[in-house]
Amino acid sequence: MRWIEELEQILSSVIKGKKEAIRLAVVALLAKGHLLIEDVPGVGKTTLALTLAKATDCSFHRIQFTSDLLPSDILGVHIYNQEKRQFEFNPGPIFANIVLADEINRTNPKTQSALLEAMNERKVSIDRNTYKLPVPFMVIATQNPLEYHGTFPLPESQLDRFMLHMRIGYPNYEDEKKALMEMKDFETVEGIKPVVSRQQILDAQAMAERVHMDESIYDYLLQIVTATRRHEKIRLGVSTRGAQFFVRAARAHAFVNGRDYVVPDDIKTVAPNVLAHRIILKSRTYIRDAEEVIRSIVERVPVPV
Amino acid sequence: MPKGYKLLTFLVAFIGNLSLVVTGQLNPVFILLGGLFIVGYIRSLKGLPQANRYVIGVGSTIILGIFLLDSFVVTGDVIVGVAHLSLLFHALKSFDIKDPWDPLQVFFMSLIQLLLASELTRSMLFGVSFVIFIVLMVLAIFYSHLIKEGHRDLRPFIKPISLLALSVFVLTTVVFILSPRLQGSLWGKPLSKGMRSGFRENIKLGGLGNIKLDPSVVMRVSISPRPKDTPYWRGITYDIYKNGQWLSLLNKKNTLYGINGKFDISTPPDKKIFKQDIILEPLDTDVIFSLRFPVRLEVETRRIRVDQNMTIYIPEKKNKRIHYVVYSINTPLKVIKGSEQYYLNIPQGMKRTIELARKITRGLKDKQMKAQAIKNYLIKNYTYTLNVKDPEGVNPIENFLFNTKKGYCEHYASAMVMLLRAVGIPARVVSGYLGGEYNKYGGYYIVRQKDAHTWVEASIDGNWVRFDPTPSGPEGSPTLVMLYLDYLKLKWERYVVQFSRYDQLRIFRALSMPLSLKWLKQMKVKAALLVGLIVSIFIISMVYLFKSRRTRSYAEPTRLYLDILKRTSIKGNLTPLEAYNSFRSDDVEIKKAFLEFIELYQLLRFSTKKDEGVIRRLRELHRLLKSYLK
Repeated sequence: MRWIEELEQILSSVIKGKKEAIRLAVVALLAKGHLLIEDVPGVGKTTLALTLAKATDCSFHRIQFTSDLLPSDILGVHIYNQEKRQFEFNPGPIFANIVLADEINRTNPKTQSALLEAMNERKVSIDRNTYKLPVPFMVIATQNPLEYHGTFPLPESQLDRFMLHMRIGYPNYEDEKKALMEMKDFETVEGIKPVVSRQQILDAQAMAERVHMDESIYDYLLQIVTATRRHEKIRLGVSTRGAQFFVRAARAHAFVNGRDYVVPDDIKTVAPNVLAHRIILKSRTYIRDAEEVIRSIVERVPVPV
Repeated sequence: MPKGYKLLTFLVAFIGNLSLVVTGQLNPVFILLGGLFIVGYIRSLKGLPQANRYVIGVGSTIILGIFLLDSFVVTGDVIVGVAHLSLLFHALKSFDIKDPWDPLQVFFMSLIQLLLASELTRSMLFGVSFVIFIVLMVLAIFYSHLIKEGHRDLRPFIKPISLLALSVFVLTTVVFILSPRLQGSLWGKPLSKGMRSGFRENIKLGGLGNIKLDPSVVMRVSISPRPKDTPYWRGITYDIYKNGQWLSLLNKKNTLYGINGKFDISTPPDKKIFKQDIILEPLDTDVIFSLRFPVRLEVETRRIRVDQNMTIYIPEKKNKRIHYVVYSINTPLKVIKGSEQYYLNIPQGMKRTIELARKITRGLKDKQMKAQAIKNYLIKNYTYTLNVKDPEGVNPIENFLFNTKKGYCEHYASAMVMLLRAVGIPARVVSGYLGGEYNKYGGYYIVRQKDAHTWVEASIDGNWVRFDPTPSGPEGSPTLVMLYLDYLKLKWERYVVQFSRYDQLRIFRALSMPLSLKWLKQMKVKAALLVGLIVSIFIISMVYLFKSRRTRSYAEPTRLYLDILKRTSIKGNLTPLEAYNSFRSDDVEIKKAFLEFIELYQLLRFSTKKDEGVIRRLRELHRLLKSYLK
C-alpha cells in the first residue's frame, strides 16, 4: 500500500538510519499491538511516537511516568458537576489514539497495572462505569534498561501484553552526523501533515488480520515457541498468548511488506522482537541477552520449504 | 492426550491380552472380566471422565487378593495366575488413562503378557501377535517422542516409521537365522503335558469304555518319495501277552552315538530309501516313529537307543517337541535266529482260540496262506467299533473272538497274533500310527492321535511280514482350508520354532558352495534365496529410508527451489530471502532472476494462489538459473 511507504519515509526522515525500528513500529500499529521501547534517553523514542501520531492523523498523548503517579492520573476521574448535579467523567491522558508512556518502569506497580489493563482490554472502568478507548489505540511505552536506579521492573505477565519490544540504539556515525546537520526541532515534527486517515489505518488492520498463513508456517512458528520452553538457558518460555501475538505480528509484517501471505522470513524477522521480552533467562535479565537466545533458537528450528 | 495415542495404547493392550487368550490356558471367567478393558478404552476415547484414584486403589487391592487366591489356591499355577492378573490389570487401567505415563504402564504390562504367552504356548498365533506387538511398540515409542517434541501433524512420519519397523523386523529375521542356538528350552521346563490318549507304551486290552477319537496332531511327516500304499508309522513291538496286557520284553537296547547328530542304525542295502522329515509333538514316550525299517537318523541329540526290533528311543526328548529326519527302506525285518520261540507263547486256557485257528487254516500248508486266511476271517466276521467294554475277569481276546465279535484294532491284532501262534507261526503286535491325512499343499502327512493303530507282524520265511486284520472304518475328508492352515503351521514349526543349529549349518554350507547347476538343483538353494531376499529387502528399505529423508515427495515449486539451492551450494538453515542474500553473483540480471524466482516460489508455496502462469514462469527462471549455475 502506497501510504505505508510514505509513512515509513516520513518516519525515517525524522529518525535517521533506523529502518528496522520504524518498520516494527508500523507492524505494531497494523497488528493492533503495543510497543515497548527499551533504551537509554535521547535516541528518539518520543520523536518516533509523535511522528507516528502526526503522520497518521491520530490523537496523541504523552504521559511521563513518575514514582508518585496515580492510576487516576492516567485513566481519568469523575468530578461532581454542581450545575447538573451529577458526576461527570473527566477522561485521562490514556484517551488518545497513540499514547506515549514514557519511562514506564519509573512508576509504582499500581499505576503500571492500571495502564496495562487498559492496554489489554481497550477500555477503562472507573466507579462501575466503563469507557471505551478510541480506535486505533496503541501504547508506545519506553523504559530505561534495568540497571538504572529507582525503577520498578515490570512483571512478566505485564510485559507479555506488549506485542513487540525493540531497542532503537544510537545511530551510526554517518546517520548521526546527518541528523546533527539537518537538526529538525520539535516544531518541524509538530508540523507534519498526515499521509493516511484513521479509517485507512483501521481498514489496514482488518486486512492484516486476513493475511494467509500456511500450515507449515504455523508449525514453524510453534516449533520456535515450544523450543523456548525446553531451552536450557530459559527458565520461563513463551506462553500461548505470546504465540498468538507472534501470529498477529507475523501477519502484519507480511502485510507491511506488501504480501497477502506469510513467508518464513516474516517469522524469523519478528521472532526476537516478539519473544525476547516474554522469556526469563536463568542467568541475567537484560532483554538483549534474551534476544540473542531467541536468535540462536530460530537459527536451529528448520525453515519450512 | 491425543486420541491416536490412546488408540495405540488400546491396541497394545489388546495384543497383549490376545496373545494370552490364544494360548487357551486361561480361565474363561478371567477372560470375560479382562474384556472390560474394551469398555474402558471406549470411554477414554470418547473423552469421558476417568476413574478417580480411590476407585483404582480399591480395585488394585481386590485384584491383588484375587491373584493370591487364584495362583496359590484355585489354579495353583503362578504363571497362569500372573496371566489372569495381567488381564484384570488391563481392565482396571483402561479406566484410568489420564497422564502421559499411564500408557507406559500399559505397554509394560503388555510386554509381560507377551513373555507369559511365550511360556504358555508355541502356537503360530503367538508369533503373529508378537510381530504386531513389535510394530505397535515401535509406533508407540515414536509417537510419544513426537508428541513430546511438539509436532502437530504426524502424517509425514508414518512412512519412515513404518519403514523403520519393517527394517527392524527384517533385521530381527536375519539375527534369528544367524544367532547361535541354545540347547534345550530356555526356561528348562517341558513344553507341554503330553498327550492324553492314543499311542500308549503298554497295550492293555479291556477295561476301556468308549474311546473318543482325539483329533490332536501327533506328527507331521514330509516324505519323499511318497509311498504308494498307506504308510505304517512303526513304534513299539509287543511280544508277551499276560493278564490282558501286551508287554514288550524282547527289546535289548543298544546305545548309539552320533556324529553331528547323524546316526547310522544299520547298513542300508541297495534299496529305495524313503526320507521322512518329521516334527513330533510332545508325547509321553521316548519312542520315535518311522516307516519300517529305519537305517539312518538325523536328530539334534548326542545319543539314541535302538532295540533289536528297530524301535528308536530318544530318552531326553520325552515330553518335548522334536524334529528329526529318518531314512527308511521298505523291506521286512529279518527274524533274529533263535528268537522265534518267544513269539509262540499263548496264555493258558485259550483252547477255543487254538481250535478256531485250526479250523480256519484247515487244509492250508503255506504259512503265508494260513496268515492270509486268518486275516480274511477276522475282517469278514467281526465288526469294527470303538465302543467296547470288556467285563472284569474275562479274557478280552476270547471275549472278542467268541462273544462280542466287535472291537477295535487292538482286539483284531491281539486276536490275530494268538491265532497265528496257535498254528505255530511266530507273531507279534506292533503299535504306531496308520496313514494320516496327506496334505497336498505341503506334500506331507498330518498324523493325529486318532490315527493310532495296532497291527501284526508274522515271521514267515525268516522275515517279519506285516498283516493288518483291522477293517478300515469310514473317514471324513478334511477341508482344503484346514489343510492349508496346517501347512502354514508346519512351516512355522519347522523353520521358526524348530530352527536349529543344523539348519544354520546347512544355510552356511549352502552359501559357501560354489555356484553350479548341480548345486542349483539342490533344495538348499531355497534357503540361500530366502536369506538373499531378506538381505536385499533390508538394504533396499534402508537405502530408501535414507534417501527419502532428503527427497520427500515435495510439490514442484519446492523441488525446483531445493534444486537451485543445491546448485548454488548455499548451505544452512536459511529462509528463502536469506538464501538470496547469501547468493553471490556479478551478473545483475541473474541476481534479479534469482530474487524473482525466490518470490514466485514463496508465492506458490505459502499463499493460496496456484496459478499455472506463475508455475510456468518459475520453471523458466529455474531453467535460466540452472544454465547459469552449470
